[in-house]
Amino acid sequence: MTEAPILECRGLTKTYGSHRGLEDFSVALPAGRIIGLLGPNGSGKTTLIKLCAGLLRPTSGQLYIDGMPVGPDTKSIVSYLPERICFDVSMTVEGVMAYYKDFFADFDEQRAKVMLEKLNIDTARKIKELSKGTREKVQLVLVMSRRAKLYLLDEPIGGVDPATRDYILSTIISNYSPDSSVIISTHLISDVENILDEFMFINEGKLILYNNCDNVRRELGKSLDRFFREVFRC
Amino acid sequence: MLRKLFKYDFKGMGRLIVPISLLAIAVALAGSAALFGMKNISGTDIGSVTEFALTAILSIIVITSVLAIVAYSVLCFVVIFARFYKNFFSDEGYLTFTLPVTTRQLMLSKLFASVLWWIAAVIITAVLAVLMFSVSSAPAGAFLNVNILTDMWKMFSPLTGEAGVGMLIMTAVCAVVQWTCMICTVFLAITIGSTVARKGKVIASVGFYFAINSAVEIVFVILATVCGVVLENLDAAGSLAWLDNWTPEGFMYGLLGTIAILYGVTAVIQLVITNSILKKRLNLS
Repeated sequence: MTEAPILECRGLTKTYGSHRGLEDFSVALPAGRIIGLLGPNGSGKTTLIKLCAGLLRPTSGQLYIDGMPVGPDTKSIVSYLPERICFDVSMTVEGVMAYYKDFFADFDEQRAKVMLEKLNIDTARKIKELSKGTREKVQLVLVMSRRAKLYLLDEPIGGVDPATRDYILSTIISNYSPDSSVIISTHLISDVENILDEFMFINEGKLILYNNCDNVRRELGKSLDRFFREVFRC
Repeated sequence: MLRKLFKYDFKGMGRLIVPISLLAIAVALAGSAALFGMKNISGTDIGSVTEFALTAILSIIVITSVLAIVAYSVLCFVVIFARFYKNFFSDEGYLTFTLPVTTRQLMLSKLFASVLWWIAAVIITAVLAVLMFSVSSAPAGAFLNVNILTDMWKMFSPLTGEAGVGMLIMTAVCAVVQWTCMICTVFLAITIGSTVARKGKVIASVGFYFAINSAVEIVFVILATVCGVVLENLDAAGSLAWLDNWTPEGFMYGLLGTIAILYGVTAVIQLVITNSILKKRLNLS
């Protein structure tokens, strides 16, 4: 018996007025992989992630996470890292941790505390008192401290310095369990390609290619970054 | 989950409303003291220039405190709806709508917290107004008119008739239902405004608030007209003879009950529409 894919899209379409964010998008992703959602700016990466997180409603088509349509049940197994800071900034870091603990049964408070301690973040401070970079780290720590089945990371390394980029990627690697899946949306391929098992190339809302990273390296003899540049050459 | 959501909503609103309330209380106390000072300054031998200057300063304090009491309730109103908007339609929505809860739970939690804080704000405003009124109507030399509540009761009792406290409770229930309906109207307006408009969501929400309010008023007028025609026909047919036995208190209870039911039904309809929009049309940009 085959396991249900962690994410399955069937003819998924999302339109914004006359603009198509996603068009007839179909894919079934197996569990236990780190998958890169790669494409140029405005290609539909964030739209797909938001649909999976339940922040957008599809115009047509079906979307299943672990065999369930998106709803409260899928939200309890999906850990989502948005592009922006989504906390009530008047809360303290401790307060936000308590919030996660209250609402997400899979939140590992101890893991979060250890990571925050390593980063020397004072948990008694309010979010609004922290720098932009520190807020992003706190958000990443909380998202990765959940023992979720699926992590949706939207541009986790966009707009951060190289040292923070390394920290973010090592946090992702060291915190996800092998039976979980991670979908990382980014256009900074060279930074993430070493941690990816598979990738999806997406452009103008359509799935261009879904493949294994090793296949590209072995069969084409190219890095994923170089292959991406060739596929999306302007 | 509803209880947890309510806990965070109640605390979240309280983080702003409690300090604002304390400030309003402090300003009202200062205003009361100034009012007392103003009433007792004349007749003292401090000199006319000093008396004039002091009276002017005290008057400014009294006027400021009256304005502060009015501003306080407006601020509480703003805080309640700003939280709804921020939690649902700003960046915070990215966390709110990824919680493993239903949109109905999210909305009900906001509604309960908003109604409770609004009741608290109204009570505080009323107490502060009574305090200032009590100081202004105090007999010479006394700080407070201790009979203020008895005086007010005498003022209102002709309206409540023999029903007394019962009528006051009914009026309070009716007021709470009306406030709940008003809050639901604003929730619906913000939801439609934020869903429809790409830019200027707040302005769109304000526009939709007036549009929804007007629509509700029109429906109420139509309902009242229809009821009037039906009652007239029933009266002509002699079917309303039983109404002759109604006391004025009974009539008031009936009227307040009908108003409460009307606003209650309107609130539920608005909640259902808001929930439906959040469930089916949510698109956080």
